[in-house]
Amino acid sequence: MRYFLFAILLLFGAPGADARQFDVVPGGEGLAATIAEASAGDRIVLLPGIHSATAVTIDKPLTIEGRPGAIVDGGGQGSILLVETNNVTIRDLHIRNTGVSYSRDFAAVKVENAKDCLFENNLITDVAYGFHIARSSAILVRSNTIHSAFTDQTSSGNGVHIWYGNNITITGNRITGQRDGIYLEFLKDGRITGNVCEQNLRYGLHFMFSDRSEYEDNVFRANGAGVAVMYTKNVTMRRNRFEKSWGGAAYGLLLKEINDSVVEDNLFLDNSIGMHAEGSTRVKLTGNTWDRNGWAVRIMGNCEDCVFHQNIFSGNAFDVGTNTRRNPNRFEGNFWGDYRGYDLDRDGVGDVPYHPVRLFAMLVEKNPPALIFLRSAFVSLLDVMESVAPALTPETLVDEAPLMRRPK
Amino acid sequence: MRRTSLVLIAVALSACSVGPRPIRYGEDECAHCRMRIMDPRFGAEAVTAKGRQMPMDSVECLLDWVAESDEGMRSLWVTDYSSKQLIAAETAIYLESEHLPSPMGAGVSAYATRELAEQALRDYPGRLLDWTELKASGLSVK
Repeated sequence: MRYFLFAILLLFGAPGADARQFDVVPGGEGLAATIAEASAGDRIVLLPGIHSATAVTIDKPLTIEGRPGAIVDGGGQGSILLVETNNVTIRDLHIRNTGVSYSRDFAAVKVENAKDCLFENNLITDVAYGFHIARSSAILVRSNTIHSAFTDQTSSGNGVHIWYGNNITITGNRITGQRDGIYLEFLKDGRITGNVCEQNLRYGLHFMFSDRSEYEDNVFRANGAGVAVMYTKNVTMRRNRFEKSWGGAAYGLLLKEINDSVVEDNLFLDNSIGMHAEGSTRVKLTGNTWDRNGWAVRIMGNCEDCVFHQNIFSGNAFDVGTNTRRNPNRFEGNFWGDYRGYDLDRDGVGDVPYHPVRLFAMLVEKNPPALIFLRSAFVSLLDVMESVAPALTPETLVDEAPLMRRPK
Repeated sequence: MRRTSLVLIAVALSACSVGPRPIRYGEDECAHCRMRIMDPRFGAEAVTAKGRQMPMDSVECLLDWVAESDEGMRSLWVTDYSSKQLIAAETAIYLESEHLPSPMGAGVSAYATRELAEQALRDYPGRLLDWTELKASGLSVK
């Protein structure tokens, strides 16, 4: 083992032994010239002040960092920093003002074909894309703040954008005012944890074709259309908050063609539609809370073998909506705020099954404007009649063992 | 009176015209993948035999949706990448390129003429297809 370590030292040189440090003053010879002068392993420190930089290529392993007050300004033209090699660290910088384009993806930090890079503690403002990372692996994007103030959705870009990646971690970032906060397409083995994505124009998280990825402990709040997780298998979604997605095509969480996945201990609060699922199979939903949504869950007829267990539904206008009487999914042992049954044998489980799909929800599914009758007496009467003798609601969509008390 | 009735007839006719309607980017939901439609270079639309106008976010969603639908189609529309206008799907030329990502992963863009498509092909290496070839290609939402 000792020999092995020694061999590694010989190969790469003792870390830090001959690494040099370059201080860059604002308005001097500039970042690009300093990079040209530096060699692999060196550290470049930007001193306080405004450093102009457009499309500066980082083509050797370097650490680039800023002293407090160091600003890298793209002047509204193109991308700012281009990472095209491995082992690059960018930290403690304020990077701002990329160009904006309908057809080109301009980013504060654009990464292509890179491995083992670290981007942390940066402040990124007024950019089309924050981090645009393509065909790269083993990247850590940590504790950055990304904020832009676009109002035109179609020309704005995403906070952290991954297109073909492996083993990428996005953690502790705060992203507001972008198109999508975090955008993943073709990422394998991604970890998205502890981020806050708020008031982005479209999605807080856009997650597509990203097998074996997990996202946990994130907050998605008041994004234009919520969160979309699509066309993926083996996704783990735990302890996230999906809040305040309001509007026509807005979902706290949209699941489309998601297979063999886990949705656990999440909170869906105050959305038009808490979760909409279609074309999804074998999804386990456990320990989630749906509170104060219009629809808590809409589950379409093309979903199969999804299992709802130990979840809490409370204060929703509709607990469950669906578009068919056929129901190949299971609801068992959940807590329903609207449950009016009793528990004579006191085993904590209601003795009367609960039908979470109201007749009125089926009517609204077929004819949305009927929603204006939501609070009418006639509709309440309809719902009571239907719960006594189900004629239109899915007979098999029933919780045979509704919980009497909220699970802890 | 005659003028009024002419106007009324014109209004009535235009109301039941069965072309596509402009896609409201940033507002409309894709009829196939349910995502909010954002990118004005890639929108597509189907008009069904019943006259329903179904906006979509990409050519690949249009292909999948039409294949899965049991309704007849009156007309299909895609967006010309250069002008961002809707054009008839049957006469468009398509570029499939891994260098030009489209909203649902297939990398397909559409062009009003073969010249425009060839121009794009120089920037984004790939292959050109006509509508028949595109339908036979098996391209879909990845």
